[in-house]
Amino acid sequence: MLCARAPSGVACGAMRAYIIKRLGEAVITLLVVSVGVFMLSHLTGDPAIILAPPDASQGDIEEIRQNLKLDRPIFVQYWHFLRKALTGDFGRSWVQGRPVLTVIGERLPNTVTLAGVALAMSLAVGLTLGVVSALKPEGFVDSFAKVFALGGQSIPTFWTGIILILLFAVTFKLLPTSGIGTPKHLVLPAITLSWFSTAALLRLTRSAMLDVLDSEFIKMVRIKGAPEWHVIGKHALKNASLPIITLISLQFVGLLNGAVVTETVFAWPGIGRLVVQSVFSRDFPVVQAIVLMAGTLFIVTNLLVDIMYAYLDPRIKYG
Amino acid sequence: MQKGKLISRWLAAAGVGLTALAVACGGAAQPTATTAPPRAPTLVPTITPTPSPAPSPTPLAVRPKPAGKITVGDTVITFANGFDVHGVPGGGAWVVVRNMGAHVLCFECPEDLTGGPAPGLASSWDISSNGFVWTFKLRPNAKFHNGAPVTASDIAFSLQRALDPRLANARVGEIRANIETVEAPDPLTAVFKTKSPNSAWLGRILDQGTFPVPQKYVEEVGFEAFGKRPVAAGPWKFVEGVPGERVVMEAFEDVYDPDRVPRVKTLEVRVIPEASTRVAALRAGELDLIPSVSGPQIKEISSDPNLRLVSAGFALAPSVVFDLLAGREYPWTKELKVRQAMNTSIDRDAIAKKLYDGRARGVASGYNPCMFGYNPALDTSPPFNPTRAKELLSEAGYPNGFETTLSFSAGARDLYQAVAGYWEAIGIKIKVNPLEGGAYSQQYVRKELKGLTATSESCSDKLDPAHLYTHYGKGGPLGYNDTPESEELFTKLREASDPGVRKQLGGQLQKWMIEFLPRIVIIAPDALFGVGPRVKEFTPQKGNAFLIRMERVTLK
Repeated sequence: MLCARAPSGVACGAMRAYIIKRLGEAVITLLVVSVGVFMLSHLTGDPAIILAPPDASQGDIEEIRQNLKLDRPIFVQYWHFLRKALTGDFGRSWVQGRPVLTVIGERLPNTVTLAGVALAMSLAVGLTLGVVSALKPEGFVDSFAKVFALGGQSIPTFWTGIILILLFAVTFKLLPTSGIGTPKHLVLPAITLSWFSTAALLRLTRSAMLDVLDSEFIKMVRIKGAPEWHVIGKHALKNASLPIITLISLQFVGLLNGAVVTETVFAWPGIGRLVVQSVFSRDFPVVQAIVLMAGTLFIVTNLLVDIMYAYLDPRIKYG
Repeated sequence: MQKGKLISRWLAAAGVGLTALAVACGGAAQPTATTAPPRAPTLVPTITPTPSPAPSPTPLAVRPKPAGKITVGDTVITFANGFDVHGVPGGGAWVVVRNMGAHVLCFECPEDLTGGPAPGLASSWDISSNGFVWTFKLRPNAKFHNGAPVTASDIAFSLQRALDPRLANARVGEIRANIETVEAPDPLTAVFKTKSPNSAWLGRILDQGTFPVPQKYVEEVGFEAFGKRPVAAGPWKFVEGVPGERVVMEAFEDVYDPDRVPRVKTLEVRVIPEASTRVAALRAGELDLIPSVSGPQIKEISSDPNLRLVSAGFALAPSVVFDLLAGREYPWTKELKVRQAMNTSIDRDAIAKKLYDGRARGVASGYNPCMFGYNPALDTSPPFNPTRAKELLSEAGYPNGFETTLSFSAGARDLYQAVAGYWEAIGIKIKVNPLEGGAYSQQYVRKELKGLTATSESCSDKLDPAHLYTHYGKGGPLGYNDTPESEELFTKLREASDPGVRKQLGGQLQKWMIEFLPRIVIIAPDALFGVGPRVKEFTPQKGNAFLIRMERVTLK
């Protein structure tokens, strides 16, 4: 299927071999990640003490350790974990007592929704402002975009969120302060979450467009009399898209994995907040599962981006 | 007839209250016993077994049906099994459990628990002369939320169920250490046989995490299903919830005591971890009540004319523990004058003003107003006298001070850095060691923290001075004190059952804590609740920072 749709210039067999090689590397990477997160989690100390009541006796703590199989050698614990993880069983949350995948499954859609909306906002605002800024450098829009980008990359997410709450929820009572349930609940957290990624996208788009707009083939297209929208949309943006697509892909993964501050400020029940709570409460099964999922997502996204490169730019060859 | 029943009910209640007061003041009337003459119970604070039968319920027609909805915010809701009332590893679920559950004694009912708990599912109880057997007589009208009657077998079953390791119940250690058996000789009689006559544990076991649940229902639906649809016997019944996010409860109109029927129909608890967001939600009208108001949020609420702050008084006081463990190389901690110097060098008024908006006070020790035997005359704020502090250091042989480390959980950075500043001012060089919460807990419990360690004194957690052994006694699991001075006092407290003797010993313990200074209590802030404009009446329990007694909240 890949070969049937491949543009000319792409060696199909080489692509296949490249993908297989990357998948092999992905497995090794994930194995290393699993060892890393497992060992690092256990380095944070004895979870049995955290899970036990503060005045628990040594006997109680020891009982918890035995129930959670923490009294076994660490490599035995890791083997047990890996064996089950390969079958999709990440065990039960030590804090909630429920299957880890159930706990994560309750939160994941919320994070995907928030990240998706935030990304859509980033694309809409970042791409538009970036293109317009590049078309009219040093103009009003460009100046505004620079300040906007500076703000997005320097103002803490926490502060942004609180200010938006005070303005739109408390003072004007237009939107809810926190929680989940209606599309209105998405607005403020999505704006908060998207500002940083919008800023990065805006700057990259502007920079990439400026490079492309200055190139010879664009001048040729203009000389040939093509309408400006054709020059920008079909030629310039397409050629500037490679780094932009890379950034968008990585940003989406980043948004999925790391919306902790936004989720905390807005009490948004997502994965970011769950993983931090789990780290603090030493709920290792949940932490390990989320880190592995994040790693898998990152690796798969990178691979997809690399494959997409080959389609977008026929000059790129693998193998 | 109804009026006559009402009067007799109030007279009986007044009788109970007066009897409790008389006993607390030292002159106890001895109630009649079912076996050998019982002594006044050692449940602290003292309360006599109720001599009269439970009054007949007030007809519900005299009170309007529950109506309206109240939404409260809290920092966390954590259960070990769905919303299981026994799955309570710590305080993270009390707001739900203590409103949903009811036990033989009601620790949630009184506004001031120093007068003792109120009758709960049990209308009366007594204690054998040797203090090892507690017999509770259950109310015949007590029901669970599913309509099943509350029986003694359910009480016994529930206590046993709480020991299930899957529930990570915070009271497992206390149950095992103190309860031999719980028997049900008949459906309305629950007999607790204890391992010691010391009743100090009773409050901690009965008010948190061992609420009775219907055995038949639990066995029918199974462990996990019960967690998803819990059933108990308290004033609020579970309706729905999202783990870790929200719980919705509804008024249980058939609760055992008509006075505990909620005035509001629906109670929703929403988890909002961030304090400033909780206050924003209160200001926006999305929440009606929030607990744990502190720091800048105090001023934010008090400056909003639509909101108000309600105080539960002393609930939790940050303190610093001196490392008095044997074998530790801190000779300066063993010097009383050093400890006195450090105590008197802290400007508590300034801390109260700057960090708590004036809603805090200095106290003499961790023997707090919730404790049985507390003597307010002894509990004065240590004076702020840095000059005298320096003199004391010199007299102790440290004219140039010394160096040490102060370890604390990073969330309390502002306070402990301020305290470190005061100590620096008298020549003690402090290396602050803020730790992540989990790391701090682990190292604290393992007694790995050296020098000075932050902790806190809790009002609602203890009540009975014997509990202080955990934190102050030689070999106490959470204590850093190996000195023998208090050993004799704690031994006597563990063995004493007479309330007069316990009160005297409590007074001696308070005096010891003030004079020996094993800890410095930095400040005693008020436990504050933020209340929204819709709430007409909300009275928290004194010394309790949790949102309990929600059945008594009324709306405008």
